[in-house]
Amino acid sequence: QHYFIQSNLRTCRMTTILSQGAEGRLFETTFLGRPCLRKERFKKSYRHPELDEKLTNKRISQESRILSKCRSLGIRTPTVYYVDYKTNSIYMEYLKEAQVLKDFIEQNVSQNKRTEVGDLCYEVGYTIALLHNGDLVHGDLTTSNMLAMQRNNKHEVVLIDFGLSSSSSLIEDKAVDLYVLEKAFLSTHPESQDLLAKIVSGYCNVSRDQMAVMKKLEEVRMRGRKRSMVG
Amino acid sequence: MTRLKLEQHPDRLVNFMIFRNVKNCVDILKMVKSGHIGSALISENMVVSSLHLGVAINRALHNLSNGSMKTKHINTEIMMCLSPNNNISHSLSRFGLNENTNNLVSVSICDNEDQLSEMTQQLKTAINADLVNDCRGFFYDDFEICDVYGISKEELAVDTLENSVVTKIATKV
Repeated sequence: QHYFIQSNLRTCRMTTILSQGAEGRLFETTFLGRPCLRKERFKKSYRHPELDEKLTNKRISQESRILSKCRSLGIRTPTVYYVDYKTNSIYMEYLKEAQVLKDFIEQNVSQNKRTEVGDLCYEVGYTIALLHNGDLVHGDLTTSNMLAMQRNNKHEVVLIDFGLSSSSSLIEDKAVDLYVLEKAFLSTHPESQDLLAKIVSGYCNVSRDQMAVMKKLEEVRMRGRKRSMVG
Repeated sequence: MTRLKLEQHPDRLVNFMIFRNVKNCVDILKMVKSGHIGSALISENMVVSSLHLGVAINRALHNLSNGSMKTKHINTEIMMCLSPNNNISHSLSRFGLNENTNNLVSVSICDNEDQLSEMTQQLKTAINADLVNDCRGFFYDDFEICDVYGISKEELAVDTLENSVVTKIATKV
C-alpha cells in the first residue's frame, strides 16, 4: 500500500492510494467517519484545457447521475457522498465487506462451490438486464467491475465503475455490452461456459428485449468486434 | 448537541440539536425572518439521519468556499442541498419550519467554541421545546420523504432509505 499525503489548503489529510488506472486514481478516505472511496479523474494535458475541463466535468456528472439512476432501477451501487467538480472526484461509500466478483468466482470455484457461483452469475445476468431495461449500458462489463456482497445470508451483485457508461436504447449497444462481458468472462475465468450460461439465463428472464438482444449478440459474435458499426 | 466531523471542512464546527414538541413556532418564524437566529432550522420529519444532514452540509460548505452557492446564506444553502431539486422556495417550504412544525433540527456552523456556545444559547432561549439528549435517531416521515425525493418501492428493496436519499442529493446537478 502506498501512503500519499495530500495537502489541502492549510491541512494535511492522510489518504491511501488504492489503485491507479488509465483514467484516474482511487483513494481510500473517510466521510463522517465512514470508509469512503474517492475516485479522481485525471486531467488530460494533451487536450486543450478548456475542452478537457468541459469533457471531464460531463463525464463525472454522467457517471454520478447513472449511479443514482441505477438505484431507481433496482440495482445496487455504492452510495455517493459528494461529487467535486473542481477536482473531478466522486466520493462514495467503500464497501469493505464486499468482494470483487472476479475473486469470489476464483475462490469459490476452486473450493467446489460451483452452484453458489452459478446462482450469483444468474443474479449478474438479472442485474444487467435491469440496467438495459432502464436504457443504460455499462460500457465495461467485467467481473472486476462487479462486487459480491453478503446481505441477509445471500450474496447480491453490486455494479461499480460507470466511467464508460452511457444511456442508450439501442439493441446494438446492449448486445455489445454483453459481448464485452462474454469475452472478458471467458478469458478471466477458464472453463466457465456453464457460468456464462447462467448469466445469459438471468439476463433473458428479465430483459424486456431478450430475443432481439440475443439475436444481435449472435451477429456481434460473428463480426468479432467490440465497437458498434452503427453510423 | 451532536458534533458532525466533516473531514473535508476541518476548520468548521458543525453541530446539530433536536427539539421536540415545539410550542412557539410562530415566534420562531418571526425571529428567523428578522435575522435573529443564526442557525439553520429544519423540520425533523424530513431528516433521515446524521449522514443525510452531513452530506447536505458538506456540499453547502463546499459551495460557500468556491463561491457557487445558489442562495444568499449558508443556512438556506443547507436547505437547498437537502432538497432533491434546485427550487429555493420549494426547499424552504418543504424542509424549513411552518406554523405547525412539532419537531425541529437546528444546525449551527461555527468557527470556534465561543461562537458555538453563543449560537446554542440563542437557540435554547428562542425555542420553547424539549431538547433531545439522544440524537442517534430522527423521527422522520417515511411516506413524505419517499414522496418528496421520488423514491419507489423497488429502490427501497435495493438499499436503505438513508443511502437512497443521500445518493439523490449528492448527485443532484
